[in-house]
Amino acid sequence: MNGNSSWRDDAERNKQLMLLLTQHQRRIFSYLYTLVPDRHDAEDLLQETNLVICEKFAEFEPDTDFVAWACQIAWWRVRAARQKYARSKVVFDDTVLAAVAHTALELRHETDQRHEALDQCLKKLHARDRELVLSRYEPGSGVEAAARRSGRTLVAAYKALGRIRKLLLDCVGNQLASEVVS
Amino acid sequence: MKLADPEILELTELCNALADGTLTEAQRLRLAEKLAASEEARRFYVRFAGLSASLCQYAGEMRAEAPDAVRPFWRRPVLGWGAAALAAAAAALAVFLMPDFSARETAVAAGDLETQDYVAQVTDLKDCVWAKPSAALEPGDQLERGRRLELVQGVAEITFDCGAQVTLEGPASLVLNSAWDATLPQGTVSAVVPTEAIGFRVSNPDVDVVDLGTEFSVVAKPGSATEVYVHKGKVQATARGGEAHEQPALVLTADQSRQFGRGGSAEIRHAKPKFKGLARLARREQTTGKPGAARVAPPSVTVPVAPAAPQATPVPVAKRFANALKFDGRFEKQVAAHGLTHNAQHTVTFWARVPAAASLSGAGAMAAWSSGGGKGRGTPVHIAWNTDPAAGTLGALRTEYGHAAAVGSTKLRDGQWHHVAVVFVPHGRGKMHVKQYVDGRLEGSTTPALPKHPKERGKTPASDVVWLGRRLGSPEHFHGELDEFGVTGRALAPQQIKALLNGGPSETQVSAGVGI
Repeated sequence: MNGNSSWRDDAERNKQLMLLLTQHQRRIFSYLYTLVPDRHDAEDLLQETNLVICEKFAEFEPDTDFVAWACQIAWWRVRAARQKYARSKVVFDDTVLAAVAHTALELRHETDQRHEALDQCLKKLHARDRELVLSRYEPGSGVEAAARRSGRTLVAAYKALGRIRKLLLDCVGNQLASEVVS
Repeated sequence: MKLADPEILELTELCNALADGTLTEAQRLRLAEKLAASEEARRFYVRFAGLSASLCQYAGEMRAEAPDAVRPFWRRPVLGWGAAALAAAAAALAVFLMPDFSARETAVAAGDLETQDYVAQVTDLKDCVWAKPSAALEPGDQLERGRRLELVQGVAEITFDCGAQVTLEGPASLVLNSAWDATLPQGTVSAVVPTEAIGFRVSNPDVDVVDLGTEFSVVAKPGSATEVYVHKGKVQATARGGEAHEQPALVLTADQSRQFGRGGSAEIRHAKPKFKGLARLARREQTTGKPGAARVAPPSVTVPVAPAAPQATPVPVAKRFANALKFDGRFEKQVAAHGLTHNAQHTVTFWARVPAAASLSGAGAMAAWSSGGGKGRGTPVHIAWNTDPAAGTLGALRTEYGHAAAVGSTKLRDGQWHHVAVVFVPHGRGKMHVKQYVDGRLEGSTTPALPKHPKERGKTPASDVVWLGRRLGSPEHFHGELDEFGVTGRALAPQQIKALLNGGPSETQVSAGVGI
């Protein structure tokens, strides 16, 4: 009986882990990307973070803030990456990195809202601009590839991307503000 | 405290540069400074980075809609992960969470880029033998971003657009990543880095050396550790090799050296004798014996501004700028500048003072001309200060070439004198590379296409003049002062621009102080 009970506990625990991980991957990725603003580096660190979360999940206290706990693990992975790769993976020094991490943790609750609002804002973009910005962020792509695909020069693409990001940032802010008002 | 509009503009510019991988060392330091100082700046940054993170995810979804693509991990349905995953051990679980690495971006070959910016130029050569004779260089040659130099023997001096002067001693390979950044796979380089170019970087798989205002040498030998020697000032050296993660970044000061390899960093035995030879290389005593300034040939065409009759009486100001022209929004000056309107290399230099209270509506242009064609087919060129917040820092230097514009970061609108230099270099692919310097520091560039009328290219327009204090075809006039306007028929090197800034006679014979 004890063996069956233990198996059920483990299975339940794994199920809970899976649900929490899938539910909050976006927030953890966003937190990592804020500290290491490069898609591939952030993905590397997300993978490492996921591994540690799996290893240490027994230490997680149910009904506490999973994202805050996971971000703490992510933070230490970033610190380790800083030591390992120095400046190649982390842009800021320790003091600034810690301050940014603190702010990112504070703002973690708005990640999903902003993500959903961005979906609406992308739909409002001119099709050519939407295509450029999405192709820029596609896996395996970059500004040069996006410029080629959109028929823009590299310089024009850089400028357009700057303009589009500003538009999207303002749009997301306005969208969230209007939701609060309504 | 809420961020003011100029702060938001600056943060947006810095965050965009970071997002696109074009952040210079100076910009990185500036961003770090802003983030350290302000909680509101950090909130802005976090939201900006969050936007990029979300865009990565949405773009991944778009790609995943292709039939042969892997659905991105963050939108994989939970059930789709399979019952096996639920029952798997924690270590195995991670396998299902792995992001899609299959389509990792590979480095884009230099030749693949549609637009290649120039980032450096050859300023001196001695007894050079290049790996490919077809790739042999001449003094004055402009070098594109991504260019790989393969020097078999001899000494080549390369001046980066930021002002860093690098001496390469063969056999050596050097890759020019940007105006601020080079990779040294092998060989010996020595760098003299002026204040304006602090942040210049030389790296390879062993070490990342960031200049903090100095002269230094890097020696990379295949199969050996990379050696760093500091002759003056200091550098930050960070080990990048194998076990190097145990070691923090090091600051090396004058007469210090260190080697970096797979095991991290270590002292160099018997470093002193090597110092002497490398310091000589850094100061270029081996080749011409003349330290410091760039040694490109003087300009073939020097175009002093002719003392044309002004259309209004200028008001002189004191001291160095006693003969400066003062523009109050009503005056303009027309000067002859033969050759400037050709689609050829040239550099325009002058001093400018813009009142701190200058209004956006009265910005006008400091200098304007039509380049590359007559009969209204020329490309209008305007050197002005930026009035478009969407384009960059308000009040920063803005050079428009047709519809393209380079925008700097230093605010000219502060009531102080600033030295302005704008360099025009025709690109072999029907483009014009425009780069601008403010107070000797590289600030912005653009590479617009030349006019689409082949017959008109190179043809001198009927009115071969430069207008000071107004825009072409517009009633807008400039408010402020201009002095020491000069034009030379070459792309000046950063050291030559700095010589003008410092007021001394320069090798380039540019007519500083030509009496406007």
